[in-house]
Amino acid sequence: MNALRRHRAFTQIWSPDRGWQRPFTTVNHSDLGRMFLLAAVFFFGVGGILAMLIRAQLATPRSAFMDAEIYNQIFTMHGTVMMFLFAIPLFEGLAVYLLPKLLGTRDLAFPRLTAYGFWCYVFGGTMLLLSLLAGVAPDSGWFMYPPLSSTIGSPGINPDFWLIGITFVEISAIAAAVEITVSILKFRAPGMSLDRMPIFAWYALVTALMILTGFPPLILGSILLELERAFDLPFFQADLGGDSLLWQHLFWLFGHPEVYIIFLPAAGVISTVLPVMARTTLLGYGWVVAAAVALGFLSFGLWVHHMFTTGIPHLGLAFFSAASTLVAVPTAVQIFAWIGTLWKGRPEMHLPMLWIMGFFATFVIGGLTGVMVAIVPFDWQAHDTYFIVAHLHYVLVGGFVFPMLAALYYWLPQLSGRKRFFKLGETAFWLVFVGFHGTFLALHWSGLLGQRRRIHTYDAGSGWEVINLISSIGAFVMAIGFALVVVDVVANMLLAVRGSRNPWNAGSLEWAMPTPPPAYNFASLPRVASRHPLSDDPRIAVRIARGEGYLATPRADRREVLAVEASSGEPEALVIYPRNTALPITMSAATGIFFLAFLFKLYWLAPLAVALVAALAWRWAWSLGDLRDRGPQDVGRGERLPLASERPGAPAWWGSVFLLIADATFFGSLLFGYAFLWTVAPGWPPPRYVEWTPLVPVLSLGGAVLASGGVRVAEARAGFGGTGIALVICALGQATLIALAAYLLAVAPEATGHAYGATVAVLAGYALLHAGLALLFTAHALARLRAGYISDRRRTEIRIARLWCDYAGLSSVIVAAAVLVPGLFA
Amino acid sequence: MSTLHPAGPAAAAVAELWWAMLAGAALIFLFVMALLALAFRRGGDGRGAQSLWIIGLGLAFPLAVLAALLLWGLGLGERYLIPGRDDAPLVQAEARQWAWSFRYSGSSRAPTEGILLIPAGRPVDVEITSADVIHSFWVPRLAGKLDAIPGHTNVLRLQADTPGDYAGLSAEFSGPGYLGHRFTVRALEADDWEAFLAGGER
Amino acid sequence: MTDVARMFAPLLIWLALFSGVYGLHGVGCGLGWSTIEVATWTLHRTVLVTAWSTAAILQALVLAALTGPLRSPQPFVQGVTHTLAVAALVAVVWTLFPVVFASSCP
Repeated sequence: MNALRRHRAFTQIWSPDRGWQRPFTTVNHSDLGRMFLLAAVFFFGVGGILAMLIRAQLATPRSAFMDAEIYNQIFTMHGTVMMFLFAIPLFEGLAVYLLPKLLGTRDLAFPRLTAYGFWCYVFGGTMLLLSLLAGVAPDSGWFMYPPLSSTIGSPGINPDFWLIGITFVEISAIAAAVEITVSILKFRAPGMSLDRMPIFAWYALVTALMILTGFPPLILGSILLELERAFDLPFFQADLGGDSLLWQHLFWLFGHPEVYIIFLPAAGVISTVLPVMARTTLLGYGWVVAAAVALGFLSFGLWVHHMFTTGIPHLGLAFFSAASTLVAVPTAVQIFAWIGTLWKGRPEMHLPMLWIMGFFATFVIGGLTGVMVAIVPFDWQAHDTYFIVAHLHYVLVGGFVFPMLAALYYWLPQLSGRKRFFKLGETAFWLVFVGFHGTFLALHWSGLLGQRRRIHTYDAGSGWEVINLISSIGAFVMAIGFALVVVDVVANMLLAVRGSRNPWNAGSLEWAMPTPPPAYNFASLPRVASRHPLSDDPRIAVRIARGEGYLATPRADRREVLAVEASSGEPEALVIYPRNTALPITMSAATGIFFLAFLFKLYWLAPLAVALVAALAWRWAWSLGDLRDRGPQDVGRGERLPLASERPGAPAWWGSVFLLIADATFFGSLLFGYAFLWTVAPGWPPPRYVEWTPLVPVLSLGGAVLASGGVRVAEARAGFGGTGIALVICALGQATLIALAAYLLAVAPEATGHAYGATVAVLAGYALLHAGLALLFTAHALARLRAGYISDRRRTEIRIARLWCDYAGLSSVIVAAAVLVPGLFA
Repeated sequence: MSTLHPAGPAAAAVAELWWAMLAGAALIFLFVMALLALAFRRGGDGRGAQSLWIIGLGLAFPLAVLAALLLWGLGLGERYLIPGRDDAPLVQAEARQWAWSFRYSGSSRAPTEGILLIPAGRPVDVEITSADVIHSFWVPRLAGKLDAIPGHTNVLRLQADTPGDYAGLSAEFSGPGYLGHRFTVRALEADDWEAFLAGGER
Repeated sequence: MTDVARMFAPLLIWLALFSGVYGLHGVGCGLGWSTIEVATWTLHRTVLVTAWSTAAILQALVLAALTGPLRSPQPFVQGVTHTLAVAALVAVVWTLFPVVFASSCP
């Protein structure tokens, strides 16, 4: 088969639908990556307009442009849109588009999940936009501290849009994170061991794991605050056993990792682009990997530095001050590795490099002011002033926006296949750069002179008038610069001539394919032997197209990809991917109905939505798999590999593992919150505790043992008799756990009376939900067994059910213990 | 309301720290920019010295600077941020949307609204509470800020060197009235303070 | 996957130890340990310094294990694991040393 025939056949197999349905049924990562990027840029525009309104208001003292009520919505939405609807989705878009190409494979691990995540983002973002247009946008600041954001401070619907809308968008982030983690670990070109992975993949892996563990505390906090607002469960009310500090801990447990989730991908871009611009390789690849991992972990130990002024004892603050200074070390390792790379190479000032220089000049300042506010006595002066506003924009714009613009210009030839012709980009850069520093540099000073954050105006004679006027002028210059970037990019994409395939002479695989990329990326999957396969073999693109790699033969309309062993990169299984489908957008809409039910207080709708989502998920899972064992498959180059569904460690199983890691972090946060309220919140002990009864340990341990035991027997007996009975026993175990949860809910003290009762209700609800989920997975496995999808080789459904059964059992036992423990101590 | 025009020992110590950090940060920034500029003038040979860049500049240099800064900061914290060590007068500041009222425990003095009177030249401990949402007690020229959190009492040590009026701000966003949520701290001579506590005029 | 777990384990352990000592600090304040004297220190400080020392020893054991019996045959993985295990030990010492002198619960 020649290269052209192969291209046509693969295009036919992998293409999204034509016509208007395409965006709604596509599961192709290039499509979805572009859709994410476009939506993120749109929201950047929204956030930017909000910023312009802020600066217009603050340009002059005692401005009558906006009153406080409107201003509070504007600045809240500016932060919310930028952090949740621009920054994270832009990373998602870049990762979704780029990772399979960098890794030498044809798509991400779970193509339909990518689409589901995209639509959750778009629907959730639309909810927030509508609140802004309707004038009921959240107005308690982007971090929404109760009691101001709770019923007493904000009786209207405004915070509910935030709590519900953002949780919806976070589903998108969690979905993307599971996807990215499994893709990087299991879906690479054969031979791409861990040390041969492109550095961006390392950063994306760390970022994805941070999302999985950093977002759940916020999801928990949002749920608790919404429960307080909707049903009067007093988690954050000090007079009923709650504490507003609980929100701050949960929020910043998310919030600090969040900013490193934003920075790390940008650092990944720099680690990728800068060496290419310097015509050399990255200095200290292993050190940079270690630094990225260290940054990821250390960032989870900093959160209290956002709470330095809340009255925590000095020793407690000292831990976080020390950790906050230490985090500058892995950052410095990367900065100097990059500068060392420039020194060892022969750098050229192309447009991506210009943006990277902008990054250095800006982010270094932001990092230095960050070290300043890590010092507690100084933070006690700078906190909640414009010093912090200046610092955060220096690190976020300098550390994320500038590198992402470098990424845009660097990968634009890959995306568009064109050579940049219009040279507006350089002018745009200088406008943005000068405008940015004009806007924010002097705001450090006005903060130290006493200008607080979030005030909607200020008096003449305060000494800040000139600074604010210059800042507003700078903001308009910067806005013009960004607009010029858009014009430049659009003009180049539409009008420029076709360019060469690898204009930067880079060494990574995304440049070894036709540009713009075909739907299938690689006509055959190459075996790689180093970190820079394209540099080793400049003709690799031709050899790939000629079918010299794996999976070169289009077969029976199947979308085929190889799964590899995580460390060595040796291929271990053949994976078949799903076709185009409207299931993801439908399920996203059903999920949306669930959230809208809570937003508009139509609670009867919520269980219907849950049932709909469960039915769609069932259909989703049902569409894969086989009715008989297929055995080893020919994967090209004379090798044969089993189907992923016919061996342990299937990608779907790993997907559940990582989702459960996120779930466990949620549970851990809930237990932390419980312990926090018990030991720190005023107003304890509650009127009464749940009393010890032997029924509780019997039900919890009994249910757990039945469930976990039953599913293990089922797994061992798969393909022989007795599997069905074992699964039924497992289901009985879950029914027992459901009964336990129901019992706890029944004997819990009134949830609206004290935070203890409220927490018991949430803990019991959590156990109930997970027993229910495990039951669903078990029922699914039983149904698959009945229908003939299970054999001694094809046991993935049972293995996945086992994960959820074990988790439900373990979490129920912990819930039972947690509910009883304070009563036993008392 | 400027932190850079201190009128009390805590604010003065922080201002001194600020100037030192600013100088250090400026030097580091210029150093990094110089390294970048020089990178473009050299022609590299493809070999990079990891021990210089990673170990020397990436690890040793920041660790040394950060250790020194951290110790200075923690020392300042121990010295200025810990209240209740001696028999400083105790006052109470209660915040609500959008006003402050102050009480003077240990005296029969009536509460004052919007103005806190303290003796000059000696430390005072302020017990900070909130009646509704989270606020923050901040007198930039005298000391750092401490939050007023419902259900909690946070204690801030405050000292003004000389008698006078000092601007106070609530420094935690609290809704539409946040802009005007301010107060004044008036430091009195010793005799005036005694007279005030006994119930005299301010 | 074991290689990935090796690389991530040291700092994950640091995070658990750091959170544990911080939590212990809060619990100790709640239980009034800062009002009980033990030799020249309060019970609170004694407990916390003991916890810190134990944490440092644990972290050192992790370093020893990962560079000894649990080492990876792959040089790259082993190099990164070693670096991160040392970093985690430095982190335990650096982020928790204030237990020795800083003031705590009112």
